[in-house]
Amino acid sequence: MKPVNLSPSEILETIRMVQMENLDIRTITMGIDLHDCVDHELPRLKCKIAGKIRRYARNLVEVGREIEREYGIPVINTRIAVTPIADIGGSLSADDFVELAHCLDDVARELGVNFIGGFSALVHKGATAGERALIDAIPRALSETERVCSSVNVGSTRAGINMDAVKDMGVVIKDAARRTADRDGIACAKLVVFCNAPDDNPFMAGAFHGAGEPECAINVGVSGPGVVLRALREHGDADLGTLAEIIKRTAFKVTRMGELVGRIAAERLGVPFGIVDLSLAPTPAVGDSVAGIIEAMGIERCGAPGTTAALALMNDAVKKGGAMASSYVGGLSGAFIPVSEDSGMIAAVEAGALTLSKLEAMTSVCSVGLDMIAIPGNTPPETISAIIADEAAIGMINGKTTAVRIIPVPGKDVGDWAEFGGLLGRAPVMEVSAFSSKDFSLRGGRIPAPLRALNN
Amino acid sequence: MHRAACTGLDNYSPGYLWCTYSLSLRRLDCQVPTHLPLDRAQTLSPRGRGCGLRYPGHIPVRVFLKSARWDIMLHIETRGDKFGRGRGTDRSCVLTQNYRSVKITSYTDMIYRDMIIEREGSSAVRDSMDGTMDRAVGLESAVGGKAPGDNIASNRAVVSVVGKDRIGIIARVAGILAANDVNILDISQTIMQEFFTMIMLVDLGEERSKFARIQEELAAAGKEMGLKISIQHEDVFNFMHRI
Repeated sequence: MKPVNLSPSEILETIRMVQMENLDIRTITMGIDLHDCVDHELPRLKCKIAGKIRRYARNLVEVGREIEREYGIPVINTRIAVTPIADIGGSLSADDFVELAHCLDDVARELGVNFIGGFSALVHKGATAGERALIDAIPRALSETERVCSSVNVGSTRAGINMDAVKDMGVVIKDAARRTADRDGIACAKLVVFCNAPDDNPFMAGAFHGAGEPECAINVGVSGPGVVLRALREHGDADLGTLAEIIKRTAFKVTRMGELVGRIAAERLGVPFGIVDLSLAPTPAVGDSVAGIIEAMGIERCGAPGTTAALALMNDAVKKGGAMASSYVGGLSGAFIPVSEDSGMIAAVEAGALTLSKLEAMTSVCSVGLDMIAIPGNTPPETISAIIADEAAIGMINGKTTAVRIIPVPGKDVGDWAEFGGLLGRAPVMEVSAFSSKDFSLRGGRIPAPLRALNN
Repeated sequence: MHRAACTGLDNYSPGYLWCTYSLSLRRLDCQVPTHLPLDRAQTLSPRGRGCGLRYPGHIPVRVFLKSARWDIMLHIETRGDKFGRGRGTDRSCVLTQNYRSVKITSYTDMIYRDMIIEREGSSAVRDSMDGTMDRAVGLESAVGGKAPGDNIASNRAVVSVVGKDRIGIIARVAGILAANDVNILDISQTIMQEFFTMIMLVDLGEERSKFARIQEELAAAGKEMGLKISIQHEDVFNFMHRI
């Protein structure tokens, strides 16, 4: 028999992390390849897709619950990511894609997963007819369904930025918001515009099962800003090198949980284990905040000068610690700064400390991008396109993933609140520059891929 | 004709499944590899010759699946001979008199691990069987998979109790564990800031199914005594603190 080799303080540390510091498994996401479902007839295509998803994911929710019970780690979400739908519906019309979105929504509801991602198109160099139809279908698909998440990749370091697609996405986002005007434009909260989108990201709304992925895989996203925050508070006076060390150690422990859960879930579901996403994903819960960590490092309010440096330190330390803890790391891996899902960010915006331009600067050193940001409903589509272009440029030049999930809240202006409820939280409407970018956004064409030498 | 209903497949599944049955009929053991065209509904018809009892050992059958959502009727017909039929649900785990196990894997390596069949034969059929195989069995996958959850390396767990100190905490917890046939390997306790903290390492033995029951009983006892009692698999702690 194995000896008992755990000390009570270690056991209590784990228990405290879970019970008091909101350590949890944010998502177990099952990626399912749908290429073999391709069919030129829509009803058959729908049948095949629904059948395949059911076949693989029918025990997903149950296994998530089982793990939560036996291991005592909350599994907050179980989700499904599929092959970008534009890839398998090349011959469909926009109406067909909307129908397909309903099909995905029905399967997700039936299986009990809270989101299904992959209503996506990868158009970083150009769009096919099918991809254009899918993009046209996005506003309707997202406003008519509940659980379908969509993403569009408009740029990459190797291909440059497809500004035609960027231009379209501004219009798509406005349309999606308009169609869900009664719910503060919630459809936009399910739509991510990416540059350098990862193929194995478990986090919504940008999850899809990309090219090169296996038939089926389990990807896990962990969360634990609260744990890092507590560790930092315990070492109030330490210098930044020590803080980085503390974050690394904490991230290691948090990620080990993801690794364990991923392996067990994969084993029980009989599919390969994909990756652990080393992200620090905040929740609206008090203390479970990335902004809180930045403030604990000595920034009075998140957004004040020094925020970007603090975030860079934290993001890097999380990756270093997490990479040691997991056999396979992937996805977005870094700190998320979604405004509506982070109580500290919300407070900083309210206090006037955090602006859209500061957030944009922060995205150059953190994991994702402009995430869950509410802007005035009367923001022109060209301005939204330009915001996307800025963010994509940061991703393209730095060889990292960036994304925009922005909600032009219909009928609301700076100072109002957008209420999304549940997982998506609430967000103050933030100010957007009133100067026009129209002529730039409407030019179209492509921004060429950047030079990868002469780095400055 | 005899039928088995298997859950887990569905009427929309595309393509084919490779299916291996181990059917145990009276004095008949047959391994049946066959194609299952899942998008077609209807009863099966015998394919090839030599179906049925005349060729014990191998019955080549073609099976068509008919289903309503999660319930699949899997019909197997052998020359009109009626063997009885089975129905199943996700949770049921009843061995039929007719079938010992059904093993089905898809060509995509998907493993239907808990495909269970249950007998629902007519009384005439039932009476004609001697029922020796009428016992519960979980079905295993044909490609060496295990039933869900059988794969935990150890079955040790950590019971933690946190709360205000009072008389009889250990006795109560130990009582619940003993009643469930759980061996206590180690106990440590401290008082931290007035809070009583006890940690027990326990061995749950082979039977994994009792975990949920013990968890409920401990939680109930904890509620009664104003304590937080939880039980977690040991791996959580090993994984976090040991490499």
